[in-house]
Amino acid sequence: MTDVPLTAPGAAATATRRRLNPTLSRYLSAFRTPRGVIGLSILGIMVLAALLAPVLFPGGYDQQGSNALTGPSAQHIFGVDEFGRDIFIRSVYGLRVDLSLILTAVPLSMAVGTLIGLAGAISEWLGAGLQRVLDVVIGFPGLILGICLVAILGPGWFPLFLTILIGGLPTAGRLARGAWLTQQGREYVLAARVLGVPPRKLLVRHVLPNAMDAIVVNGAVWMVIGVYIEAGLSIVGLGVQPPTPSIGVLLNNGLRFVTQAPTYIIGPGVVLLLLSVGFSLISDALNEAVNRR
Amino acid sequence: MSSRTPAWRTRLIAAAASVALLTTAACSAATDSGPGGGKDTAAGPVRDGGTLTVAQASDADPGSFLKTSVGNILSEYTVLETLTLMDAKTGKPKGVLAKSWKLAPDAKSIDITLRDDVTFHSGRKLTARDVIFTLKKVRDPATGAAGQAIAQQITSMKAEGDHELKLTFSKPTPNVFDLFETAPILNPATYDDYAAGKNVDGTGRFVWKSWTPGGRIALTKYAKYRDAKNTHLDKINIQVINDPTAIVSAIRSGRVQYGVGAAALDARSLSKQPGYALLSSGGSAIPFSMDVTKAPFDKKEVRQAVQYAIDRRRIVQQVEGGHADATSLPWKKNAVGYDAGQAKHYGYQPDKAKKLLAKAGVKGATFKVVTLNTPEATSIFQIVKNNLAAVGLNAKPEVLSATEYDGRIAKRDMGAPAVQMMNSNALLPASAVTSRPEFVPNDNLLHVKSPAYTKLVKNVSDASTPAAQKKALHAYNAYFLDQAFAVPLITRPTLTVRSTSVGGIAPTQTGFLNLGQAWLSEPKG
Amino acid sequence: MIRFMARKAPSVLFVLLASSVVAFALPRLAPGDVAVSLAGTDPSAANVAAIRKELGLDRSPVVQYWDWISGLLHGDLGQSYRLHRSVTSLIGDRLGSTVELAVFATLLVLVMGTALGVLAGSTKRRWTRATLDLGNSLLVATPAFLTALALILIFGVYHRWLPVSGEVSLLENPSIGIQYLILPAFALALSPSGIVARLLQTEMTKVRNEDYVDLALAKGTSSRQITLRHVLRNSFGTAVVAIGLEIGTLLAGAVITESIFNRNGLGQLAVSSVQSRDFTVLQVLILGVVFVAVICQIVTEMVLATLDPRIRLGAQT
Repeated sequence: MTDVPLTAPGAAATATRRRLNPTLSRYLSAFRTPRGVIGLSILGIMVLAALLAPVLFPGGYDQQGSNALTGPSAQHIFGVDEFGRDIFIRSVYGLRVDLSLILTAVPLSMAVGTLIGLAGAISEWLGAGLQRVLDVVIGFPGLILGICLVAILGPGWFPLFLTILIGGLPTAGRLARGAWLTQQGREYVLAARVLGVPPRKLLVRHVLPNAMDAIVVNGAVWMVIGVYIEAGLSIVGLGVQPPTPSIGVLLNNGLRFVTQAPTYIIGPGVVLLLLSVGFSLISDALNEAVNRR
Repeated sequence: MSSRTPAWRTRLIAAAASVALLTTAACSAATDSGPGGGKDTAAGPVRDGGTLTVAQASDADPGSFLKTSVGNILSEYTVLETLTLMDAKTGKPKGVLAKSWKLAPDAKSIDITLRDDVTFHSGRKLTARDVIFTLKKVRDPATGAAGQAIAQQITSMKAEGDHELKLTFSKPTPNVFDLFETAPILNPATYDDYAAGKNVDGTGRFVWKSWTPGGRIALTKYAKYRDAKNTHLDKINIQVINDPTAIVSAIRSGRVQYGVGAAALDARSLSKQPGYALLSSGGSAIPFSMDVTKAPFDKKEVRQAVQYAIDRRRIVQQVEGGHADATSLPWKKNAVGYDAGQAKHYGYQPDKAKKLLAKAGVKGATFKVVTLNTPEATSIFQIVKNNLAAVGLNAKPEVLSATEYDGRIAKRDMGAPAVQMMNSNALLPASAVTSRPEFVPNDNLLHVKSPAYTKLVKNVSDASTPAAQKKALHAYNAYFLDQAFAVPLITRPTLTVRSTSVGGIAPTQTGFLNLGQAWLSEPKG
Repeated sequence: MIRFMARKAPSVLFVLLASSVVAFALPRLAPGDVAVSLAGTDPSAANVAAIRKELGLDRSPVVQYWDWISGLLHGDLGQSYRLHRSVTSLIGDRLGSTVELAVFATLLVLVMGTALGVLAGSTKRRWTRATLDLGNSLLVATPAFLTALALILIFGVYHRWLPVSGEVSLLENPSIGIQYLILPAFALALSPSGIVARLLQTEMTKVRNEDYVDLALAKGTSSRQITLRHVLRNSFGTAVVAIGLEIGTLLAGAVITESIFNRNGLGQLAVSSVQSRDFTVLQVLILGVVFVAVICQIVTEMVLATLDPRIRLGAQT
């Protein structure tokens, strides 16, 4: 009785370390597959362009001119908008908004969702209760959730961020809770409990690694949906407010002039497509890598 | 994008779409790929008979004819008549119920002779007493009439016989025609019945037959009208469609032939299709106004700099599609004393703006600007913001809904040092300077207050002869432009779209529409 | 079935109740006083107080909530602050447009999803199958608004075959109305069709491996007949359920589709209510969407549970 609790956690710790590294390398192996490489390079270029936008285009996204709605030319490869602004430059700046939303909101959402899912470890009552709350959230389709949040906060970056954050919680929560519930029934968990291993350790060592794969893949999928949520709300007119561009805002503006300048929406549309393809390829690659074991 | 779309998918869609097309094309096509119709398409030939169906966004408000409430925009001048109406071309009054009139040289009295062949729809003959009754109602603050301010200058009203009357004023009132314009003559006997909309008596070409609140107003031809042979339609139905896009759809589908209240952009794009044409009516001035007591606009140079910094031509082209004027004056071009030279005062001179700012010692100021939440206002603001940024000023928008905006105007507190306004410019200068919140010398929205300004306003409102009006307006304009507190960015007409099958819709000075002599080239029903 | 419903009822009721609280509370959390903004040109304290009293905003939120809910249960959806019209009539005006779009899109999902699914599930040629698979993945991955943009460019701008903006009611003028409906309905239907097709294809492959199909094959029945008589019939349940599942997605997508094509449906009503902060309209719409989503989920789960317990897991993603 005195020996076992002392050695068991130590052994488990090394085991975890050994397990975590394979986990990481498994995720990394995703980026060695063709899909992963293509996806990563698409996104890499986009992130780079977004980061370097102020260096590449020091004039900013609101450089107006007297031309309006001219089609693509050597000088303006996406053409210029209704105020004579270069749509390509605006698309690159728009990427900053989209990427800043997705790359912050989605990881946060997955982390918070996981915590909520694992709340059952603290008290079964709390876990079940939070799960009911997530059931309510799931009832609100992403766009409707966004509409609600915009109604409170007014349109802008923050309600978009919250929509993506809150919208992602239920799936992450369910995945984590699912892992917690299955692991709970396992004999070694029961044994560890009997032996007095604190729930926190149980979670970190046994439950989390099991839920991790699904949550990471889900996160990548949710990034695609995040792009769509931004675009959707902006198209409806409830996104980031002008003159700040986002991909959705550009599509919204382009739609207003679709008969006069049909090329307007093509540029931002392609950027959006590339963005979602990039994230999709990565999520596929991750999924493959995870299932390969 | 298309390289990723497999060919079969495109084919499938195309096939499905063309199948659907084939089944429907035989009947009619919703698009027409012919070369865009254009706004100049005239209406067909004048024909008698038929029912015109028109749409408006707000419900009728028959209790508020004297307030020129927007709910009466299509019915007011069709059912009722005024003493005079401004001629859109000349800017001078034309007689309607008044056969002739004589304004005293000092503009302190006017003699009016009425037509003697006018009858109300109820059958009674119109007399001078009906006019006096109506003007008294306009004068009564409880009515809240549009012409109240002018009517309160009336000191006595005297009927001389059935068809002659004399009005005397406490001060020169050359703009009495602005009062007449917005004061349709009502029947005293049924005055209390107007609001309910059951018994709306007037002298116009059409009789108010029925009104379903929230639904429609039915008008029929007044057969005993003094000039009934020049009334072309048999009936007019006014539908209430309280949603701008639905109005455009209704016109597009042919359900209605004309509508007011649709977004200008939608109206413009529909008017490019064959079978539709633009109709411009009324008018608006869109000034960039600055509170002269709030930094940084407490300095005249800063206000002038702002006006020089803005590229008005770009607003006209990029936001209004060319259907507007880049002008610095808030008046209609037909106003007596309108000076085209003064109208060009503020051209696009960013360098001059920078110099003025440097002179004022203002650098990199940040300020809030109240704007409306309409697409037009937001678009204009984008250009304004960009132009101001170019001279080192940082304008931050505070976007308000129309009700919030109106509330702040009424409170005389915009909550921001600057406001991009949206004003009607229908009134004559003499009326505008004494009634519009951005011009009035007392309790001014922008806190303009000085004896010099009060004097200039008084001169404009009192000038009775064209020469005096011209001189007073010129002097006012010079001060107005120099002080630059409410200089317009643009003025523009209100654009609506009509089917080319309807003609003869006559806009009034205030942007209401007289359908009395409208016609349908292909009468239906 | 009854047991299933009885087991589900409490959680469904909870979700609906909680959603109603959320729908009621959320818009009211917005900053700014409705009464003040409604007062418009007369923002005097007396007028604001009068408006507040008239709208019942002076009562406690609990009483207001209770009023709203009991009204809902009696079929009274309330009154719009802004437009001074009953929410019922506002929704009634727009319902037709959304229903036309949703029904037409659902029909398209049914036809295209089944056709694609059967094609992919019955073809034996490797390349055809690969192409169909790729196409299907694209369909599934492309959101309605991107499809809409592509359709507008192809059929509304480069070829001016179909109108891209506005609508005409089918009841009013069927031949014109359908033209306005085609592009938005296709935009809305393509992605769900892909999902339905994929489910159907998987199911068909599974059924094909069943013993009775082998038996039929051994008996010399033609492959075509097997597809029609056995495989398709047995997979059809899945297709119907999959379509049911997609209705919720379809409705949410309708908001954007309506906005893109300038259709005046419930989605546009929701957006304009947000912009004008018309809470009484917004709360009914929010609750309505949640209600429909929950009902779709329940019905689907019920059907799935009776059909095959295995599918239930797959449907949860």
